[in-house]
Amino acid sequence: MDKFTFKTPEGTRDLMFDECETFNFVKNTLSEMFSSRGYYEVKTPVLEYFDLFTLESAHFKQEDMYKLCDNTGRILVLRPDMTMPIARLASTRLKGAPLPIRLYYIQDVFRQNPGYKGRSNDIAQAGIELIGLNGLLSDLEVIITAARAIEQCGLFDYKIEIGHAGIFKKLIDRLNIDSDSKEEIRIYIETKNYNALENKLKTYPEPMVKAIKELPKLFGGREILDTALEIFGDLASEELGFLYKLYDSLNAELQDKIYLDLGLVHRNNYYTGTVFRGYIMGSGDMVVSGGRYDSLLSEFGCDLPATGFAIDLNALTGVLLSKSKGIGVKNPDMLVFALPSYEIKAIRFMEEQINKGTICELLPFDSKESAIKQANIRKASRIAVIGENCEIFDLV
Amino acid sequence: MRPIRIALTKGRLEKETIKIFDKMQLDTSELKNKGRRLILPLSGYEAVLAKAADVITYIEHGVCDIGIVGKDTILEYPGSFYEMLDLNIGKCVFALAGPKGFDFYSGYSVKTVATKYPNVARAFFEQKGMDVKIIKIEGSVELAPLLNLSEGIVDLVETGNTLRENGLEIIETITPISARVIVNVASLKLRKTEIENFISQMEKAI
Repeated sequence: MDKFTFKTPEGTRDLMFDECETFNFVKNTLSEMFSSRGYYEVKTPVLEYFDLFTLESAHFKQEDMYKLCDNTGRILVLRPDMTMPIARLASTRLKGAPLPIRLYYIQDVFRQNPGYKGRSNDIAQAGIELIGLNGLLSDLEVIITAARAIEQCGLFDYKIEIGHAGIFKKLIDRLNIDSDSKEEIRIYIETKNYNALENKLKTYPEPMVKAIKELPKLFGGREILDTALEIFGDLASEELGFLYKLYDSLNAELQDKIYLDLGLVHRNNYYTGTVFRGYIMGSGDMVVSGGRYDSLLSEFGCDLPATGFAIDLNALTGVLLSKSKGIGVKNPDMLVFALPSYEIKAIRFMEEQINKGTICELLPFDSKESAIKQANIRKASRIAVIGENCEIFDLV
Repeated sequence: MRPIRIALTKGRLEKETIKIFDKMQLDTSELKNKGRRLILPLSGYEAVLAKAADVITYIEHGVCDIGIVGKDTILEYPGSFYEMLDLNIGKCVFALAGPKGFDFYSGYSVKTVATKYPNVARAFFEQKGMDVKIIKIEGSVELAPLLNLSEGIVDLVETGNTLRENGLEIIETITPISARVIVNVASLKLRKTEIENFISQMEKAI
């Protein structure tokens, strides 16, 4: 056997026992919550065509995707994202369905990260997509659902930041520059690299430049909208007006959890309106990412507005486990010990006990002493010895 | 809640950063007498001493909140974090250098370049649309052209003395380098006031 027989590939890992229990708790909590809010579950294939993720608006780097070929030589990928498959599904399978369409999914996405960085290449996500609605109400529904999803898992030390993809697009489109420079500027804003942004913009004329330069600095409470309004004038008054309404409504519901970051400019340029991210104390990376993508579905011939988010289940599980809020593995209540030729009787007895809600484990020991010894190791509180009679012993 | 952790790049940058901390009137006595300790108290903050590339790793994972690291390292090990301040210390340039008088860009043959920074070198030649063979060297890169392993090197140049003494010269400057303040994305959002305070104090001290 070669050395690869014994380990999992870079960026993947086994989940065991309490990790699984905690993961399932998170997963079940979210799926119950989504379905009680009128969302229906969908599952999409792990494999999709490479082309789906190379649409102009998608912007997935080819080197980040796991690729393989099918038997006719077409290139497939392990899905790196869930929004594109959902857009594909909604615009084909659900074409003409009554609106709005509410969908949720709990699936893994796969991304190749550089090696030895401790990043996970297999990311379990839960998410919702609300298709066919735009406007304040649907944005509120989705963002508040994201907040409740975190709270339902028992985590309350979190923040949600909101921004608007339209602001950057409007400002940058007024600068007459090529798409490479746009992307460079976007990266400087996203990484709050004030210096590089300043240098890059030196050659362009005011006043557009001033507005763009200020974008990454505009994060905080309601006051930053006032500042933005002052700086931008009427360049993005529609978007800012919307953010006032959104922020005030969210603030009434989520108070100090919510703040604004106008420098929130995602790499995925399918976002068109409100964008948001969620952070939880204890996780160094964002845990929730979402926003409105009103023009994506039209690329699939289905002109519908849509919004949604994805939440990183591994990150939630990790935070819960690190706070010892994880769900422990249950020890058996009772060990069932079968004497020779009473095996079926023992199994029947065990099933009766299980129906009463007891966790049982069958053991094939040849003496009562070794069964008691085992029961102590397994931290079981009772053993049952099944022979001609059924004897139950309590262990202290 | 744990104190805000600041990761410092060990060595020359560390000394210059401590000067800035002094100007910020932080108590740097423990940092100056660190012995072999790697985590040190700093007026209510925690200072962590690490190698440059590790500063980025600690910031990306959010185990440290604020990092001080050279732009050279950021370019070589790109990641997702905020790059919020240029400290204007540790200044030097990335440059392509070669033997004095050698015309690097002449001829059709694919050139070989030795470097400690393969990602920086690759990006530089990609942007030029030029195919080169890149060889990673761990120590004194200047040796490679002297031993005829490569025609050029991509390296940090501060004074240019090492180049001159070995008969090399700058062919082209790639980009200026200085130390930057980087911040974990989640930390900036979750502990906004504390981090913004620190950075604005730092900005005033440079």
